[in-house]
Amino acid sequence: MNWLGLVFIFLFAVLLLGLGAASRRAKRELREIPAFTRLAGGIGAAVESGRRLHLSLGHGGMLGQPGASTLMGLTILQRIARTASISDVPPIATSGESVQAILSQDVFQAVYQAIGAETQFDPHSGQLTGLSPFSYAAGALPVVYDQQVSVNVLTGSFGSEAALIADAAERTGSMTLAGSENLTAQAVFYACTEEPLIGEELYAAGAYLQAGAMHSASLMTQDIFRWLLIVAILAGAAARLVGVW
Amino acid sequence: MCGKANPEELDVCQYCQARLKPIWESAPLESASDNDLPEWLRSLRSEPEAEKGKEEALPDWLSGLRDISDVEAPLEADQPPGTADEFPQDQPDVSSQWFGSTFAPDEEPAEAGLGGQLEGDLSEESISWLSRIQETDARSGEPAPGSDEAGEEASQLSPPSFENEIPEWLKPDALAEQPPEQTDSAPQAQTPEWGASEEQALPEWLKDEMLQEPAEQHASPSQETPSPEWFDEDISPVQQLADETEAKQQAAQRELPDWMTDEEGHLPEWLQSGIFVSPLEQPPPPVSSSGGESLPTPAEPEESELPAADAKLPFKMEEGEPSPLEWLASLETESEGSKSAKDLQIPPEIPEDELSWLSELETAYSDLLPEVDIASEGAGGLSEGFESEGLSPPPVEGLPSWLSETEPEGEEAPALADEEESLQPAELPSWLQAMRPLGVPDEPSGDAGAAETEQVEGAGPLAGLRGVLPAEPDVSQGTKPSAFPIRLQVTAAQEEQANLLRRLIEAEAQPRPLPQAPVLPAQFVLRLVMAVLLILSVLIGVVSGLPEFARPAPGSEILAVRQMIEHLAPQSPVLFAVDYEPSYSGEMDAVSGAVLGHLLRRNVYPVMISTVPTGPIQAERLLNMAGKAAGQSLAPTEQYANLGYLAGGAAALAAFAETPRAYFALDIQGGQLWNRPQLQNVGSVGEFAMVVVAVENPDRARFWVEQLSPRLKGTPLVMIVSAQAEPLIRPYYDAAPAQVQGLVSGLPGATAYEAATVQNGAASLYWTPFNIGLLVAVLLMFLGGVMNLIAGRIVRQKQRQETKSK
Amino acid sequence: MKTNLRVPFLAAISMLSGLVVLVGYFVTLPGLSDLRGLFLDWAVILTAVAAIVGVANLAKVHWRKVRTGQPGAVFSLTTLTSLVLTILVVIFLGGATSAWSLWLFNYALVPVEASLLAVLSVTLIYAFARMINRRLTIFNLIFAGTALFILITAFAWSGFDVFGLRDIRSWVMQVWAAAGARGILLGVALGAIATGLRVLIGSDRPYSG
Repeated sequence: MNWLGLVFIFLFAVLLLGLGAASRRAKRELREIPAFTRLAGGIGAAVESGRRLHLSLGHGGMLGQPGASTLMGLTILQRIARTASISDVPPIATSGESVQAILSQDVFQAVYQAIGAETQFDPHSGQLTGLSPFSYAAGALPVVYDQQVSVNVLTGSFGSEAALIADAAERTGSMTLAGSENLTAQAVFYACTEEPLIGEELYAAGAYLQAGAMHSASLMTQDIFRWLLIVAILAGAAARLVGVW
Repeated sequence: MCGKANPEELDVCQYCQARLKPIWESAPLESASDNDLPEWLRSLRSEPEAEKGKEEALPDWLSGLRDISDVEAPLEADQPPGTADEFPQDQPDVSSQWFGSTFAPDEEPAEAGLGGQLEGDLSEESISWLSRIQETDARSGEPAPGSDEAGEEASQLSPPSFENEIPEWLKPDALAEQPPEQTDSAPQAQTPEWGASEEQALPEWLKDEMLQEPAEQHASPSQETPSPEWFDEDISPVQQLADETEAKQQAAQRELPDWMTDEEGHLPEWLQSGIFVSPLEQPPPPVSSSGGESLPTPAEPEESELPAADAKLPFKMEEGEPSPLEWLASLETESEGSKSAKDLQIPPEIPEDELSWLSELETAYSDLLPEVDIASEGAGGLSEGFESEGLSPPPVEGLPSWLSETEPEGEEAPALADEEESLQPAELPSWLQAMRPLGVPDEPSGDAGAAETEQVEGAGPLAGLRGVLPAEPDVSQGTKPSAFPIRLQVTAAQEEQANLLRRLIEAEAQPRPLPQAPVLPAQFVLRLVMAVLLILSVLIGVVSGLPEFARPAPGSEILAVRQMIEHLAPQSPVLFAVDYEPSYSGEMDAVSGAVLGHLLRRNVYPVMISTVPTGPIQAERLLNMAGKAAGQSLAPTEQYANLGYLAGGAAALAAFAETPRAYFALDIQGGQLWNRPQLQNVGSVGEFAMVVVAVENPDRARFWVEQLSPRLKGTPLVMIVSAQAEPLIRPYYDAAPAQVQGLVSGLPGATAYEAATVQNGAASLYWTPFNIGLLVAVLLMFLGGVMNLIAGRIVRQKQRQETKSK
Repeated sequence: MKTNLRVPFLAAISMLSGLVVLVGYFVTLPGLSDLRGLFLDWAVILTAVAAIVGVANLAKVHWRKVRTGQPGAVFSLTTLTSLVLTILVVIFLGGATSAWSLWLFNYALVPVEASLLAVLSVTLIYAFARMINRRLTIFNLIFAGTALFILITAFAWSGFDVFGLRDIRSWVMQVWAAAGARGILLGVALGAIATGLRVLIGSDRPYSG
């Protein structure tokens, strides 16, 4: 079974690299996800109105599967920070884990260095609001209520405590875009937010935000392997039903 | 400019060379190129090419006289000049005036203008009427007024580029060839500089004249131009000098061009009369005034000079007829103070018919030339005007507008009109019409300049002149501008739109009243009501315990856990992972407590571990609660071990599962761990008697299952999960082979387990309030959803109605 | 041309360490396992140090709020006071599992977080009620109906099992909900693999570079 996993990973990598090279030449059309469409407009409105952008990375950390959600959150943070760098009010990132907080500060610093505005970097733009999920959510509520946030982006590993942040955003009338790999969080987001990201739509954020050709290649690779898994599951179920396996 | 006095006949100051007379008065001889000239002017310019280079702008005093000839003649080469009758016979001898005047050799040529063009075209005509004037002057015997002075000053003046226009026979050289006695009889006059330079080029007969009176150098007339009639008449005063001059003429005759000689090769009589002999050299004949035109009377002393000049005129002067040059001599200033500056004297009486040619000129060019109000009654006005401008006017009737004060005679204008072929009186050439200011209507040709001719300037430097563009009242006396209404003329639609824009702008500045936020927002009230209902329901259930809700029947997963625990040996090491957050303590403490209590009653050795930072202390809390429930007081190290926090997530779990001793050498209290008798044989997670994982997060639960189950080697794995994680963990239990051997999920599972193990733990205590709260929550969700749905529809209907009404 | 060697160097470290851990997970080699273990230990140590840095950052943020008098400065002061008190108790009063620490945990931390969960329950009920009004779609209705059905069937009333509601509940939860959850988790797993591989090949660099 370990070899199977390794082969799976190897094939995934090869296909990812090949499609990445092809994506640089031909742009792939993606299906519309209303959440990202509204996000672009929301960012522009926030910049124009002089209001703040709030991006929350959750409390999943960098180890394990929640780490992938954290990486996607950091990618989205980078795109948003670059877009909103011209705003009078810089965006703010809250985290429920120390490594995420440090990485969010590093992303801000890199963005401002890239645009040549190192003086605009504020180390407090990336904050650790709590070490536990609910304490992190409780610490993020003042940011939503007091910082004149126009758009909330909740992308990362969350639990049911994300409903508190989403509810606070709805009270302030700000737009909320939320996505997590956690099923509970997805259910909560579906009920509480305007634009939930269900399933692996969170991992498609890079492609929709034009983060690079490799993100589009990742989507294509995921689609290909998803179909392979579907075929494998159906085949296995059929084989099991027949009694072959 | 220098303020010094100059003779009146001078156009240019003899001291500072400043212009004394306006340009239009002294029409320059220089002309524009032939292409710019109208045809009628161009035709007059039929002088040979060789002599064109010699033509230069005539002096102003001559150019003025040339304009007179324009009236007389149609300004065409083939047109005969004015007749002798037209020319006043009693005019004083102008030659003395002219030739006595000096010209500045460096004078700039006059500006090329119409006058200049006329001068150029009339170059061949200049000699004719000039000769007539001198002849008349000679017959009249009146010396040219101011001739002495004129003679003295003549040398000081020089024509502007005059030397180029002087024919050979008029040049000082020609004059120098005349008999010395004639030249010497004339008072010695300074040979003008121009004369000196040109002296050698002049014919001999002319040079003597030039020495006596520097002759005005004229452009050679066209050979084709026939001499006027008055040139052919015998002039008695001239004949007196005929013998004297005949010699000179014969001597110079050889040098004369053919056109100046008759068929026999002799000079015409008018030329033989010694026109170029200064009348100053000869005793002027008595001048008999013809009583012609009323002209300013020249000074008395100068009258003696006129007969001599008249004798030289090419026409025959009647006895007693005033010299035609008298009008020139009579031109004098009224004021004694300026008299010295003006030597020009207007002859008092010049017959009108002799000046008809002037009137013709006036008619022809009255629209072009400024009006000069030359009063016929007196020369004062005229003299004044001429004094100020330095004009050289013939102030007689029939003169052009700039020369005379009278209108051109109509009877003569038609005659001229008939004779003119291409140029109509007052017809502007095309190039001049182009210069006409916009808006100025074209004046009728017949009455061109009539209004201006009549208008006498009454103020300003041009006061007294006729034909001057009126400065007042058009320029200086401005009219009151018409009053325009200040109010804008706007239409009703424009005014309405402007008012709308104004209202919009005013509304933009006015702050909109913000809707007052209610003291208690609806959302807050609704939340508060929900919370109160939930709290009350739970409290009622906790306090009263009513109604009683039946405990759920334990499922197979719960019975399996009970059975596995029942089969555990005392002091068996059981790995108990407390992996839930403090926030879920309410539920998880109840569920975990039921299982841990059962384990404690079986006297197992729990080894607590956690992958959350608060897990170790959560484990301590759980042990205390479970111990109290079991009636035990657990002592660390002896009765349980707390490994502490396992950092690293799933990767750390896999590593710990293989080598737990490598990750934890000491327990959380700092005591030795693996030397305890309960743990001496534990080298991997599979060597524990049981693994129990209490976790509320479904993902973390999966991690435990997926990381530990391959390494358990038959060790049962019991999952204690929250109700939210059950759907994800149950497949692990339902799988075959099952990866999870026992499952207790949520408060119902805990209650069922307590019922199965005959315990009255927290789960049993929470069951009734839990059900009441659950019921209330369901009701709130349902009713709240329905109410929001209805309210939303009502609001949308109102918005639609408002939209439709707008 | 100025070359920044920092980015390639960091990318090389990231790629190498990721490959070692990934391959070491699948391939059991003595040296590779030890190296993997070593990298994991370093990651754990760095995570612990990052936790200390994070706490310092949290204290700094709240201290700035107190110093500048921003809204909520009182709560920030309470947070800082609690932090200092807990550190003092743990260091000087017997450790993390001492009686005093346990007392703070039992009577401060747990009640606060449990209360937050209780607030969450009210929030979820209110959000459920507003969800229907926010967007009235068939999926919203299915979601709402399923939630209510599960909750109602969980209600244990003596004799309430009518028409085999509990069996239907089990069928809905174990078939439909579980299947949907599995499908979502498979997609999430593929996304996580793609994200991890992008970091391994150096295409995605969440660190500055």
